[in-house]
Amino acid sequence: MTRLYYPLSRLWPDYLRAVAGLVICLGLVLFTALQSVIFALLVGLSLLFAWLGAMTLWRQQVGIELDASGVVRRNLWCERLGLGRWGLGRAVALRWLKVRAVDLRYYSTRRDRSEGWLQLTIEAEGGTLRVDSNLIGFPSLVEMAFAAAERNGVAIGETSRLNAGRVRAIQGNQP
Amino acid sequence: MLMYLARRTLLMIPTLLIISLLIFLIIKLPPGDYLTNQIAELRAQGETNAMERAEFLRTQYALDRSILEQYAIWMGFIPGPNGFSGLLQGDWGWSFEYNRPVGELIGDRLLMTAVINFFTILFIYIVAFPIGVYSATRQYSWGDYGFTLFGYIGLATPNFLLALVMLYYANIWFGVSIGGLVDPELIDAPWGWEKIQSMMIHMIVPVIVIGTSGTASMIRRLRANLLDELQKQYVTTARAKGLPPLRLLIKYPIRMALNPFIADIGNLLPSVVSGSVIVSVVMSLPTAGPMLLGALQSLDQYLAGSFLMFLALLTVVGMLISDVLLALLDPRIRLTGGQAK
Repeated sequence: MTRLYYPLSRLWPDYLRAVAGLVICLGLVLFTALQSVIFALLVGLSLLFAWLGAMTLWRQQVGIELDASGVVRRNLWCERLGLGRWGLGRAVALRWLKVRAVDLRYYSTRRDRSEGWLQLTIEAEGGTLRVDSNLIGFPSLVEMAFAAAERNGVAIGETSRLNAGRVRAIQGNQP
Repeated sequence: MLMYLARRTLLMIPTLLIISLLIFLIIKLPPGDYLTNQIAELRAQGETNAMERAEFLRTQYALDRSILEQYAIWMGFIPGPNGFSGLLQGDWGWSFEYNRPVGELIGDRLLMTAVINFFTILFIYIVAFPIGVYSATRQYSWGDYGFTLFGYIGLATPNFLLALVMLYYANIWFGVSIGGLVDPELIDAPWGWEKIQSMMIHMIVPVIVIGTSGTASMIRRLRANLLDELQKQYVTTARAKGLPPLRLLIKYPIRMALNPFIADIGNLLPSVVSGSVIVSVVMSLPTAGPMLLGALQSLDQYLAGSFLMFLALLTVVGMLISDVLLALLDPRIRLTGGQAK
C-alpha cells in the first residue's frame, strides 16, 4: 500500500494566497459604507478566500491510501479528534472495479496557461474522490485510475486522455 | 473550480489598486488643474475675487493637498473635506466642469454605452462566426477570397470615415437624421415606443461602424484557428470513419476554435467603450466616450478618473470572465512556456 499526502511545502503558497486575499478584502471592507454594493462584493470575496484557506487546511490533513484493490481518502485530523462519531470527516473508499468515471482537468491562472495544476476526479460506488497535482504521488494515482477506467470500459474524454499522457512529462519522475 | 476562482481573483484586486493609483497619477501629470484654468478665465474676464474663490474651491475639493492625499481621498482611504467619501464608499466624486456628482452625470451615458456595446458585440459575433467558419471550411474559394477582402477592408478603414460615409447614405436613402441616438424632436421626450423605435433605427449605423473592425479581426482569427484544427489527425480519423462533415465540424473543431471568441471578451468590453470615442464624437452619440475625452481635455480629474477606473474594471472583469470560461471549455495542459505543479 502506498500512502500519498499533500506536503506543507506545496500548500504554503495557497495559505499565503488565502491570508493575502483576506487581509486585502477585509482591509478594504473597513473603508466601505455598509449596505453598499462594494461592501457586499468585498465580503463575498473575503468568504471566497476564507474558503480557500479552509480547503488548504483540509488538504493538509488528508491522507490517501493507494493499493491494487482501490483508493481510500482518510481525514486524519478528524479521525484523531474523534469527529467521526458526529459524521464529520468520513473516509471515502473507492474500489477500482467499481470506477464509473475519471476526469483530469488542467487549470492555470496564467494567460499562456503555464504553471498550472491538474485536478483528478474519480467517481465510483462509494463516492467521489477529488485530488490535485500537489499531492505527492499524483502520477501513480492518475495511472491507476485511468487503467481501472479502461478495464471497466468507462469512456474517458479526449482532454483527460491528453492530460494523462502528459502528467509524467510535467511532474518529472515523481512516484 | 472555486479554488481556481479564488486564485484568479487574488490577482485581480491588487491589479485594480495599482491601476487606480496609475490612473490618478497620470491624470495629475499635466501642470495645473481644472480650477487653475477657470481662474485664468475669470481673471481674463476681469473678476477681482477670483483668487479668493479659487482658494475656497481648492479647499472644498481637497486640491490643496498632496497628490497622494488626493488619491487616498478619491479612493476613500482617508477622510476628505466631506468625510469618507470615495470610490470605496460608492462616491464617484464631483465633476468641476458640469458642477454635478460624477455618479449622477455618467449614469445615463454608461447605460447608453452599455446598450450600444451589447448590440455591437452581438453584431460582431453573429457576423464573424458564420463567415469565419465558411472561410475556413471553403479555404481558397471565391467566397473565402471575398470575405478575406471584406475583412482587410474592415480592418483598414478608419471608423470615423466609415461613420461619415454611412451617416450620409443613411440620411439620403433612409431619411435617418444625422447624429445622435434619437430623432432631435424626441431628445427630451419621455421614454416610449416611439423613442425606443427611433433609438433602434439610429443605432444601426454606430453598431455597424464600431463593430466592423472587430468583426474583421474576429473573422481572421476564427478562420486561422479553425484551419489549424481541421488539419489535425483526429479530424482525418473521424472523416475516415464516416462521421458526417457537419456533425464532425460542430462537435469537435468548432469547439476548439471558439477559444478566441471567449479569450477576446476581456479585450472587447473596454475597447468598445474607449475605442468608440472618435466615432461617438463624429456621430454625436450620448455615450461615455466623448464625455471622457472632454474630461481629459479640461482636467476634470474626478470625472476622468472615474471613467478610466470603470474601463479598467471592465478590462479586469472581462479578463476574469474569459479566463474562467476558457478554464471550463479547454482544460488541456500546455507544455510550452512553463510547468504544472
